Amino acid sequence: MHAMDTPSPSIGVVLSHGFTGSPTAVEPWAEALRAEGFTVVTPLLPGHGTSWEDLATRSWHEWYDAYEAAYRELSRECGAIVAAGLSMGGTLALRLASREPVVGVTVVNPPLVVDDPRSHVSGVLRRAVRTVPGILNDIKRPGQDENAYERVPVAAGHELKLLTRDAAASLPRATAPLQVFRSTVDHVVTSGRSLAAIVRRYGGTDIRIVRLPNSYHVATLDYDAETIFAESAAFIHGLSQGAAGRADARSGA
Amino acid sequence: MCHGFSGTRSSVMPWADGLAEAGFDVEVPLLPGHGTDWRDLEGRRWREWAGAYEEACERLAARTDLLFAAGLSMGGAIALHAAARRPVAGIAVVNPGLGFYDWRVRYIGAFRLVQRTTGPIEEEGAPEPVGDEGDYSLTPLAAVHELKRLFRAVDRSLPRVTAPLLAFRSDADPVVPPSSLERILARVRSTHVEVVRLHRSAHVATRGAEGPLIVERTAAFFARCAQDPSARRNAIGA
Repeated sequence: MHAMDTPSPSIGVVLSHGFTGSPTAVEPWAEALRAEGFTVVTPLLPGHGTSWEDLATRSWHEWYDAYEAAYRELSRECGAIVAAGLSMGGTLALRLASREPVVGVTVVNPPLVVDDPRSHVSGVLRRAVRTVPGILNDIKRPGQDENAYERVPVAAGHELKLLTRDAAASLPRATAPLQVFRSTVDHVVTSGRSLAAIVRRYGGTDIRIVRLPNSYHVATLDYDAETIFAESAAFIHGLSQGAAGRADARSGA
Repeated sequence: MCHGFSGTRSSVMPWADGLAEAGFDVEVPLLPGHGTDWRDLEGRRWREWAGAYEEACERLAARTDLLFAAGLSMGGAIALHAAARRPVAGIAVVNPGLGFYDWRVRYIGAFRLVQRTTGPIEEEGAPEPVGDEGDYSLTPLAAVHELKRLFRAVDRSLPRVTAPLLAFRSDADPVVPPSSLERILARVRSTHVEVVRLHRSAHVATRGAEGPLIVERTAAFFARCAQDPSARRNAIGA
């Protein structure tokens, strides 16, 4: 059917884990995308995979710089890049999409607004309270471990808040087709406000929202993980055909 | 395909015609009280509007394999309401409304008893009416009250909407606030929702510069819905 088409550019995917987490949460997703023929990198964000004491010293710019560095390096070998991420990794992906050319964005439960009410006073709180209990392993399926920190440094939580504000403000400048996976029950990104911010402000034309009815926040390790893998792969394949979905309709299968 | 409040079929005709050209069998019911005179609109109840749309659904369902629901503005709300009550294979709405910007609507229950009408529902830069759409130079407040009742009923029914949903949303829509679409997205149970942002359109986007984009995306979306086996199960109520 596509014998006479010019070959699609090779597609690279930058896929980031979330706040206090590690690539463990996104490795199965990365493997699934590699099996589809995409080149996938899963950067380890600064302050992660070491200790919460280390994380407490980091600014959100360091996380973004690491995501962007992975993007630049991947761009040297791939003709087109998709920005992807879980949770705060998704926030980084959206911020990148507002600054750099990407062919698509696919994210899972990204925060653009912090729901935790303590975040309102994080600037002051971080001087008084060093850490709060971790947000790890919000997963409905038993027996999963995302390998994240047991404690969240408040200073880092403050940095996360600043990142979400910057990313939300940047949304109008992002134009690539966007796919958002959203768990119907999420104990970390608890409200609909982040998704509403995306729908209200995203600069692109196409936003696809896929509800995950059987997962919590770390959906990439949860019951709906296969849905994420299959639908993101289909989404990315659709991008390389020029316009998401349009090729399906025209080929009249 | 459902037109909007105090509007007529011409507002959605380019959309309907485009889908007909793509091979769909399209019905665009004229809602009771519309297309004639504002005095005719005055006595109408929201169930008459929803009912007229559902009758059109019945007719189409009897002669086709898969039914899709579509609508502009209030017509979008009516399409969603129908999709909550009967199986459909997919839904497409343009600037769907569940509420107004105008604060006076909050007190419409009392206002309508002292004031019979208000000005026409209008936005600057709205496309010129095509043909004779009837005299809607005034809007009966009683009808606005019914519209509010309709919005409440639709809001209650949203959790029963499960079909794939495509929503077009103009960046600059002076009639329907962004909260309407956000509420719809938060409450429907559809597994797949697509939002197409229209950067160059006003409220009646179906008759604006991006009208052809709306047609193209709707046709492609409905085609994808038709190919999806779970959509077929959805559509026949299995």
